[in-house]
Amino acid sequence: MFMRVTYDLLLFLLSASLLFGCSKADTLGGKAPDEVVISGTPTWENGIGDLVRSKCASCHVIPFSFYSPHNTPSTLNLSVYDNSSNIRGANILGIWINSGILEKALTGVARKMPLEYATPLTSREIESLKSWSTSGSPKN
Amino acid sequence: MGREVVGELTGLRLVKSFLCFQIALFFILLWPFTSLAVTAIEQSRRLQLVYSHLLDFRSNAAPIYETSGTLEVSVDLQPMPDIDARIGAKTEPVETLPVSGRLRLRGFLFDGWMLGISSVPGLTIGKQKATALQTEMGLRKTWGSIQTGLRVSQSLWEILGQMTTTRYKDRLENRQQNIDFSLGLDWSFWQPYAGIGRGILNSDFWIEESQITLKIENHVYSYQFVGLGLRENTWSFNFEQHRTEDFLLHFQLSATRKF
Repeated sequence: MFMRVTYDLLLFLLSASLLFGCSKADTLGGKAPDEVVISGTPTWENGIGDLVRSKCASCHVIPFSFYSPHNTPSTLNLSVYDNSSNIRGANILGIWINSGILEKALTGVARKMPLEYATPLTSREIESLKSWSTSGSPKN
Repeated sequence: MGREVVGELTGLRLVKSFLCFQIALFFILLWPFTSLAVTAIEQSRRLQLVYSHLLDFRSNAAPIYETSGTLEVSVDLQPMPDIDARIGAKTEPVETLPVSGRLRLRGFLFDGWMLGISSVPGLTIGKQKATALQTEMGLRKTWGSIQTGLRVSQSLWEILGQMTTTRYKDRLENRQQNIDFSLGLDWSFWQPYAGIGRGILNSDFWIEESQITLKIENHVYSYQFVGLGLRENTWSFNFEQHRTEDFLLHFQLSATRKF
Protein backbone atom coordinates (compact mmCIF):
# COMPACT_ATOMS: atom_id res chain seq x y z
CA MET A 1 0.00 0.00 0.00
CA PHE A 2 2.76 2.38 1.00
CA MET A 3 4.68 1.52 -2.17
CA ARG A 4 1.59 2.13 -4.30
CA VAL A 5 1.01 5.56 -2.78
CA THR A 6 4.67 6.43 -3.16
CA TYR A 7 4.63 5.30 -6.77
CA ASP A 8 1.51 7.36 -7.55
CA LEU A 9 2.95 10.37 -5.81
CA LEU A 10 6.20 10.21 -7.72
CA LEU A 11 4.42 9.59 -11.02
CA PHE A 12 2.07 12.48 -10.41
CA LEU A 13 4.62 15.01 -9.22
CA LEU A 14 7.09 14.17 -11.94
CA SER A 15 4.59 14.09 -14.78
CA ALA A 16 2.75 17.22 -13.70
CA SER A 17 5.81 19.29 -12.87
CA LEU A 18 8.03 18.22 -15.73
CA LEU A 19 5.42 18.02 -18.47
CA PHE A 20 3.13 20.88 -17.58
CA GLY A 21 4.54 23.09 -14.87
CA CYS A 22 5.32 26.55 -16.15
CA SER A 23 6.68 29.33 -14.01
CA LYS A 24 7.41 32.72 -15.50
CA ALA A 25 7.05 36.28 -14.26
CA ASP A 26 7.23 38.95 -16.91
CA THR A 27 8.39 41.88 -14.81
CA LEU A 28 9.48 44.91 -16.79
CA GLY A 29 13.02 44.88 -15.41
CA GLY A 30 14.67 43.68 -18.58
CA LYS A 31 12.80 45.93 -20.98
CA ALA A 32 14.26 49.04 -22.54
CA PRO A 33 12.66 52.31 -21.46
CA ASP A 34 10.50 54.46 -23.67
CA GLU A 35 12.65 56.72 -25.83
CA VAL A 36 11.66 60.25 -26.78
CA VAL A 37 13.12 60.81 -30.24
CA ILE A 38 13.47 64.44 -31.27
CA SER A 39 13.75 65.43 -34.91
CA GLY A 40 15.04 68.88 -35.75
CA THR A 41 16.43 71.35 -33.25
CA PRO A 42 15.60 70.36 -29.68
CA THR A 43 13.63 73.00 -27.80
CA TRP A 44 11.25 72.78 -24.84
CA GLU A 45 8.34 72.90 -27.27
CA ASN A 46 10.02 70.53 -29.70
CA GLY A 47 10.58 67.33 -27.75
CA ILE A 48 12.53 68.40 -24.66
CA GLY A 49 9.31 69.14 -22.78
CA ASP A 50 7.97 65.66 -23.53
CA LEU A 51 11.31 64.12 -22.57
CA VAL A 52 11.65 66.00 -19.26
CA ARG A 53 8.02 65.44 -18.30
CA SER A 54 8.40 61.72 -19.05
CA LYS A 55 11.78 61.06 -17.41
CA CYS A 56 12.17 63.77 -14.72
CA ALA A 57 8.80 65.15 -13.71
CA SER A 58 7.51 61.84 -12.33
CA CYS A 59 9.35 62.97 -9.16
CA HIS A 60 10.16 66.66 -9.74
CA VAL A 61 6.64 67.99 -9.82
CA ILE A 62 4.58 70.28 -7.59
CA PRO A 63 2.67 68.95 -5.73
CA PHE A 64 4.84 65.85 -5.24
CA SER A 65 3.77 62.65 -6.92
CA PHE A 66 3.46 59.38 -5.00
CA TYR A 67 6.83 58.44 -6.48
CA SER A 68 8.78 61.51 -5.26
CA PRO A 69 11.40 60.47 -2.65
CA HIS A 70 11.41 62.32 0.69
CA ASN A 71 14.40 64.53 -0.18
CA THR A 72 13.04 65.80 -3.50
CA PRO A 73 13.42 69.61 -3.71
CA SER A 74 10.14 71.29 -2.90
CA THR A 75 10.71 74.34 -5.12
CA LEU A 76 11.33 72.63 -8.44
CA ASN A 77 8.64 71.78 -10.96
CA LEU A 78 9.98 70.17 -14.14
CA SER A 79 6.55 69.67 -15.64
CA VAL A 80 6.58 73.32 -16.76
CA TYR A 81 9.24 75.48 -18.38
CA ASP A 82 8.71 78.85 -16.73
CA ASN A 83 9.25 79.90 -13.14
CA SER A 84 6.22 80.85 -11.08
CA SER A 85 6.50 82.82 -7.84
CA ASN A 86 9.05 80.83 -5.80
CA ILE A 87 8.84 77.63 -7.87
CA ARG A 88 11.60 77.06 -10.41
CA GLY A 89 10.69 75.62 -13.78
CA ALA A 90 12.62 73.49 -16.25
CA ASN A 91 14.44 76.49 -17.71
CA ILE A 92 17.02 76.01 -14.94
CA LEU A 93 17.93 72.55 -16.23
CA GLY A 94 20.31 73.87 -18.87
CA ILE A 95 22.72 75.25 -16.25
CA TRP A 96 22.79 71.95 -14.38
CA ILE A 97 23.19 69.86 -17.53
CA ASN A 98 26.08 72.07 -18.65
CA SER A 99 27.61 71.55 -15.20
CA GLY A 100 27.49 67.77 -15.74
CA ILE A 101 24.56 66.61 -13.59
CA LEU A 102 23.92 63.80 -16.06
CA GLU A 103 27.41 62.40 -15.36
CA LYS A 104 28.14 63.24 -11.72
CA ALA A 105 26.74 64.73 -8.53
CA LEU A 106 26.98 68.50 -8.29
CA THR A 107 28.55 69.19 -4.92
CA GLY A 108 26.10 70.91 -2.61
CA VAL A 109 23.44 71.10 -5.32
CA ALA A 110 22.13 67.75 -6.43
CA ARG A 111 22.86 64.08 -6.91
CA LYS A 112 23.64 62.64 -10.33
CA MET A 113 20.41 62.49 -12.31
CA PRO A 114 18.46 60.47 -13.10
CA LEU A 115 18.80 58.48 -9.88
CA GLU A 116 19.68 54.83 -10.13
CA TYR A 117 16.10 53.64 -9.64
CA ALA A 118 14.53 56.25 -11.94
CA THR A 119 13.77 55.74 -15.61
CA PRO A 120 17.15 55.84 -17.40
CA LEU A 121 17.90 58.18 -20.27
CA THR A 122 19.00 56.70 -23.57
CA SER A 123 22.18 57.96 -25.22
CA ARG A 124 20.13 59.82 -27.85
CA GLU A 125 18.08 61.51 -25.14
CA ILE A 126 21.25 62.59 -23.33
CA GLU A 127 22.60 64.04 -26.58
CA SER A 128 19.34 65.94 -27.13
CA LEU A 129 19.43 67.37 -23.60
CA LYS A 130 23.06 68.45 -23.98
CA SER A 131 22.39 69.99 -27.36
CA TRP A 132 19.43 71.91 -25.90
CA SER A 133 21.48 73.09 -22.94
CA THR A 134 24.47 74.31 -24.96
CA SER A 135 22.11 76.30 -27.17
CA GLY A 136 20.75 78.14 -24.09
CA SER A 137 17.86 75.79 -23.24
CA PRO A 138 15.32 77.63 -25.45
CA LYS A 139 11.59 77.33 -25.02
CA ASN A 140 10.74 77.59 -28.71
CA MET B 1 -6.10 -11.27 -17.86
CA GLY B 2 -8.02 -9.22 -15.28
CA ARG B 3 -4.83 -7.39 -14.42
CA GLU B 4 -4.31 -6.53 -18.11
CA VAL B 5 -7.86 -5.12 -18.44
CA VAL B 6 -7.40 -2.98 -15.33
CA GLY B 7 -4.08 -1.82 -16.71
CA GLU B 8 -5.63 -0.88 -20.05
CA LEU B 9 -8.49 1.00 -18.39
CA THR B 10 -6.13 2.86 -16.13
CA GLY B 11 -3.90 3.67 -19.09
CA LEU B 12 -6.90 4.94 -21.08
CA ARG B 13 -8.01 7.16 -18.22
CA LEU B 14 -4.49 8.42 -17.89
CA VAL B 15 -4.28 9.30 -21.59
CA LYS B 16 -7.74 10.93 -21.59
CA SER B 17 -7.12 13.05 -18.55
CA PHE B 18 -3.68 14.11 -19.75
CA LEU B 19 -5.09 15.04 -23.17
CA CYS B 20 -7.87 17.08 -21.59
CA PHE B 21 -5.39 18.74 -19.28
CA GLN B 22 -2.96 19.50 -22.09
CA ILE B 23 -5.64 21.05 -24.31
CA ALA B 24 -6.75 23.36 -21.50
CA LEU B 25 -3.16 24.28 -20.71
CA PHE B 26 -2.42 24.92 -24.37
CA PHE B 27 -5.17 27.52 -24.61
CA ILE B 28 -4.06 29.20 -21.43
CA LEU B 29 -0.42 29.39 -22.49
CA LEU B 30 -1.25 30.36 -26.06
CA TRP B 31 -2.44 33.78 -24.95
CA PRO B 32 0.68 35.83 -25.64
CA PHE B 33 2.42 38.02 -23.12
CA THR B 34 2.21 41.70 -23.86
CA SER B 35 5.29 43.80 -24.32
CA LEU B 36 5.34 47.33 -22.94
CA ALA B 37 7.69 50.23 -23.12
CA VAL B 38 8.48 51.15 -19.58
CA THR B 39 9.14 53.80 -17.00
CA ALA B 40 10.44 53.20 -13.49
CA ILE B 41 6.90 53.69 -12.17
CA GLU B 42 5.57 50.98 -14.49
CA GLN B 43 8.43 48.68 -13.50
CA SER B 44 7.82 49.10 -9.78
CA ARG B 45 4.07 48.64 -10.20
CA ARG B 46 4.52 45.45 -12.20
CA LEU B 47 6.95 44.09 -9.63
CA GLN B 48 4.52 44.85 -6.82
CA LEU B 49 1.73 43.12 -8.75
CA VAL B 50 3.83 40.02 -9.39
CA TYR B 51 4.73 39.64 -5.71
CA SER B 52 1.12 40.29 -4.71
CA HIS B 53 -0.33 37.72 -7.09
CA LEU B 54 2.10 35.13 -5.80
CA LEU B 55 0.55 35.68 -2.35
CA ASP B 56 -2.99 34.92 -3.51
CA PHE B 57 -4.98 32.18 -1.78
CA ARG B 58 -5.78 29.96 -4.77
CA SER B 59 -7.81 26.77 -4.59
CA ASN B 60 -5.02 24.27 -5.22
CA ALA B 61 -7.52 21.41 -5.15
CA ALA B 62 -9.90 19.66 -7.51
CA PRO B 63 -13.52 20.64 -6.75
CA ILE B 64 -14.44 17.22 -5.42
CA TYR B 65 -17.63 16.96 -3.39
CA GLU B 66 -16.91 15.78 0.14
CA THR B 67 -19.33 14.50 2.70
CA SER B 68 -20.29 16.53 5.73
CA GLY B 69 -17.75 16.41 8.54
CA THR B 70 -14.72 15.73 6.34
CA LEU B 71 -11.59 17.57 7.38
CA GLU B 72 -8.55 18.10 5.15
CA VAL B 73 -5.04 19.16 6.10
CA SER B 74 -2.83 20.23 3.19
CA VAL B 75 0.71 21.30 2.59
CA ASP B 76 0.94 23.64 -0.41
CA LEU B 77 4.21 24.23 -2.21
CA GLN B 78 4.78 26.95 -4.77
CA PRO B 79 8.00 27.08 -6.80
CA MET B 80 8.87 30.73 -7.32
CA PRO B 81 9.45 31.99 -10.85
CA ASP B 82 12.62 33.85 -11.78
CA ILE B 83 11.98 37.52 -11.12
CA ASP B 84 13.89 40.34 -12.75
CA ALA B 85 13.61 42.94 -9.99
CA ARG B 86 15.38 45.79 -11.78
CA ILE B 87 13.89 49.27 -11.39
CA GLY B 88 15.56 51.81 -13.67
CA ALA B 89 19.22 50.90 -13.54
CA LYS B 90 19.02 49.50 -10.01
CA THR B 91 18.66 45.82 -9.25
CA GLU B 92 16.59 45.44 -6.12
CA PRO B 93 18.26 42.96 -3.76
CA VAL B 94 15.10 40.99 -3.15
CA GLU B 95 16.00 37.49 -2.07
CA THR B 96 13.06 35.18 -2.59
CA LEU B 97 13.03 31.56 -1.54
CA PRO B 98 13.02 29.08 -4.45
CA VAL B 99 9.86 27.54 -3.01
CA SER B 100 7.22 29.01 -0.73
CA GLY B 101 4.83 26.91 1.31
CA ARG B 102 1.78 27.02 3.49
CA LEU B 103 -0.23 24.78 5.78
CA ARG B 104 -3.93 24.79 5.12
CA LEU B 105 -7.04 23.41 6.81
CA ARG B 106 -10.36 22.71 5.11
CA GLY B 107 -13.60 21.57 6.64
CA PHE B 108 -16.68 20.38 4.76
CA LEU B 109 -20.10 21.22 6.13
CA PHE B 110 -23.52 20.24 4.81
CA ASP B 111 -24.55 20.08 1.12
CA GLY B 112 -21.05 20.74 -0.24
CA TRP B 113 -20.29 23.88 1.70
CA MET B 114 -16.64 24.27 2.57
CA LEU B 115 -14.57 26.52 4.86
CA GLY B 116 -10.79 26.84 4.77
CA ILE B 117 -8.06 28.73 6.58
CA SER B 118 -4.33 29.21 6.41
CA SER B 119 -2.23 31.32 8.71
CA VAL B 120 1.39 32.44 8.91
CA PRO B 121 1.97 33.76 12.44
CA GLY B 122 4.94 36.10 12.08
CA LEU B 123 7.34 33.67 10.47
CA THR B 124 10.85 35.03 9.84
CA ILE B 125 12.64 33.55 6.85
CA GLY B 126 15.96 35.04 5.83
CA LYS B 127 15.71 38.83 6.05
CA GLN B 128 11.92 38.98 5.96
CA LYS B 129 9.14 38.43 8.44
CA ALA B 130 5.75 37.37 7.10
CA THR B 131 2.38 37.47 8.80
CA ALA B 132 -0.72 36.26 7.01
CA LEU B 133 -4.29 35.19 7.48
CA GLN B 134 -6.07 33.58 4.55
CA THR B 135 -9.62 32.29 4.57
CA GLU B 136 -11.90 30.73 2.00
CA MET B 137 -15.49 29.63 1.67
CA GLY B 138 -16.85 27.50 -1.13
CA LEU B 139 -19.66 25.39 -2.46
CA ARG B 140 -19.04 22.17 -4.33
CA LYS B 141 -21.65 20.26 -6.33
CA THR B 142 -21.48 16.99 -8.20
CA TRP B 143 -23.43 15.58 -11.16
CA GLY B 144 -22.17 12.09 -11.79
CA SER B 145 -18.53 12.40 -12.65
CA ILE B 146 -18.80 16.16 -13.22
CA GLN B 147 -17.68 18.30 -10.32
CA THR B 148 -18.08 22.03 -9.87
CA GLY B 149 -16.80 24.43 -7.27
CA LEU B 150 -17.46 28.07 -6.49
CA ARG B 151 -15.10 29.68 -4.02
CA VAL B 152 -14.44 33.05 -2.45
CA SER B 153 -11.26 33.78 -0.54
CA GLN B 154 -9.53 36.58 1.27
CA SER B 155 -5.86 37.15 2.03
CA LEU B 156 -4.28 39.56 4.45
CA TRP B 157 -0.49 39.78 4.27
CA GLU B 158 2.22 41.80 5.89
CA ILE B 159 5.84 41.29 4.94
CA LEU B 160 8.47 43.30 6.76
CA GLY B 161 12.15 43.28 5.92
CA GLN B 162 14.82 43.95 3.36
CA MET B 163 13.18 44.18 -0.02
CA THR B 164 14.58 47.14 -1.95
CA THR B 165 17.85 47.63 -0.11
CA THR B 166 19.93 45.86 2.50
CA ARG B 167 20.18 48.98 4.70
CA TYR B 168 16.50 49.58 5.44
CA LYS B 169 13.38 47.62 6.21
CA ASP B 170 10.46 47.90 3.83
CA ARG B 171 6.90 46.82 4.44
CA LEU B 172 4.43 45.24 2.03
CA GLU B 173 0.80 45.11 3.13
CA ASN B 174 -1.68 43.31 0.92
CA ARG B 175 -5.41 42.79 1.03
CA GLN B 176 -6.75 40.48 -1.64
CA GLN B 177 -10.20 39.07 -2.34
CA ASN B 178 -10.81 36.41 -4.94
CA ILE B 179 -13.71 34.55 -6.44
CA ASP B 180 -13.26 31.59 -8.73
CA PHE B 181 -15.22 28.86 -10.40
CA SER B 182 -13.86 25.46 -11.33
CA LEU B 183 -15.17 22.54 -13.32
CA GLY B 184 -13.70 19.08 -13.05
CA LEU B 185 -14.12 15.43 -13.79
CA ASP B 186 -13.77 12.57 -11.36
CA TRP B 187 -12.16 9.71 -13.26
CA SER B 188 -11.22 7.00 -10.86
CA PHE B 189 -8.23 8.37 -8.98
CA TRP B 190 -7.51 11.17 -11.48
CA GLN B 191 -9.34 14.49 -11.31
CA PRO B 192 -8.55 16.95 -14.10
CA TYR B 193 -10.15 20.37 -13.68
CA ALA B 194 -9.99 23.93 -14.92
CA GLY B 195 -11.28 27.25 -13.72
CA ILE B 196 -11.41 30.99 -13.98
CA GLY B 197 -11.21 33.64 -11.31
CA ARG B 198 -11.28 37.32 -10.55
CA GLY B 199 -9.47 39.15 -7.82
CA ILE B 200 -9.28 42.60 -6.32
CA LEU B 201 -6.04 43.81 -4.83
CA ASN B 202 -5.13 46.61 -2.45
CA SER B 203 -1.44 46.86 -1.74
CA ASP B 204 0.75 49.33 0.14
CA PHE B 205 4.49 49.04 -0.35
CA TRP B 206 6.35 51.29 2.08
CA ILE B 207 9.94 51.94 0.99
CA GLU B 208 11.84 53.22 4.00
CA GLU B 209 14.85 54.61 2.15
CA SER B 210 12.73 56.94 -0.01
CA GLN B 211 9.95 57.23 2.56
CA ILE B 212 7.31 56.73 -0.07
CA THR B 213 4.38 54.36 -0.29
CA LEU B 214 3.66 52.72 -3.61
CA LYS B 215 -0.05 52.11 -3.61
CA ILE B 216 -2.16 49.78 -5.68
CA GLU B 217 -5.80 50.51 -5.02
CA ASN B 218 -8.75 48.34 -6.04
CA HIS B 219 -6.83 46.66 -8.84
CA VAL B 220 -9.15 44.13 -10.47
CA TYR B 221 -7.52 41.24 -12.28
CA SER B 222 -8.39 37.87 -13.72
CA TYR B 223 -6.73 34.49 -13.68
CA GLN B 224 -7.20 31.09 -15.17
CA PHE B 225 -6.05 27.74 -13.94
CA VAL B 226 -5.94 24.08 -14.83
CA GLY B 227 -5.23 21.34 -12.38
CA LEU B 228 -4.84 17.66 -11.95
CA GLY B 229 -5.63 15.80 -8.76
CA LEU B 230 -4.78 12.30 -7.71
CA ARG B 231 -6.70 10.55 -4.95
CA GLU B 232 -5.60 7.45 -3.14
CA ASN B 233 -7.79 6.59 -0.16
CA THR B 234 -7.25 9.30 2.44
CA TRP B 235 -4.38 10.92 0.55
CA SER B 236 -4.59 13.24 -2.41
CA PHE B 237 -1.99 15.10 -4.41
CA ASN B 238 -2.61 18.05 -6.60
CA PHE B 239 -0.96 20.08 -9.33
CA GLU B 240 -2.39 23.44 -10.34
CA GLN B 241 -1.08 25.73 -13.08
CA HIS B 242 -2.07 29.37 -12.93
CA ARG B 243 -2.05 32.18 -15.43
CA THR B 244 -2.57 35.59 -13.82
CA GLU B 245 -3.25 38.71 -15.88
CA ASP B 246 -0.97 38.56 -18.91
CA PHE B 247 2.37 38.45 -17.18
CA LEU B 248 2.53 35.70 -14.57
CA LEU B 249 2.59 31.94 -14.87
CA HIS B 250 3.10 29.89 -11.76
CA PHE B 251 2.12 26.53 -10.40
CA GLN B 252 1.43 24.97 -7.05
CA LEU B 253 1.65 21.46 -5.70
CA SER B 254 -0.10 20.12 -2.66
CA ALA B 255 -0.35 17.01 -0.56
CA THR B 256 -3.55 16.51 1.42
CA ARG B 257 -4.59 14.10 4.13
CA LYS B 258 -8.30 13.59 4.68
CA PHE B 259 -9.79 12.82 8.09
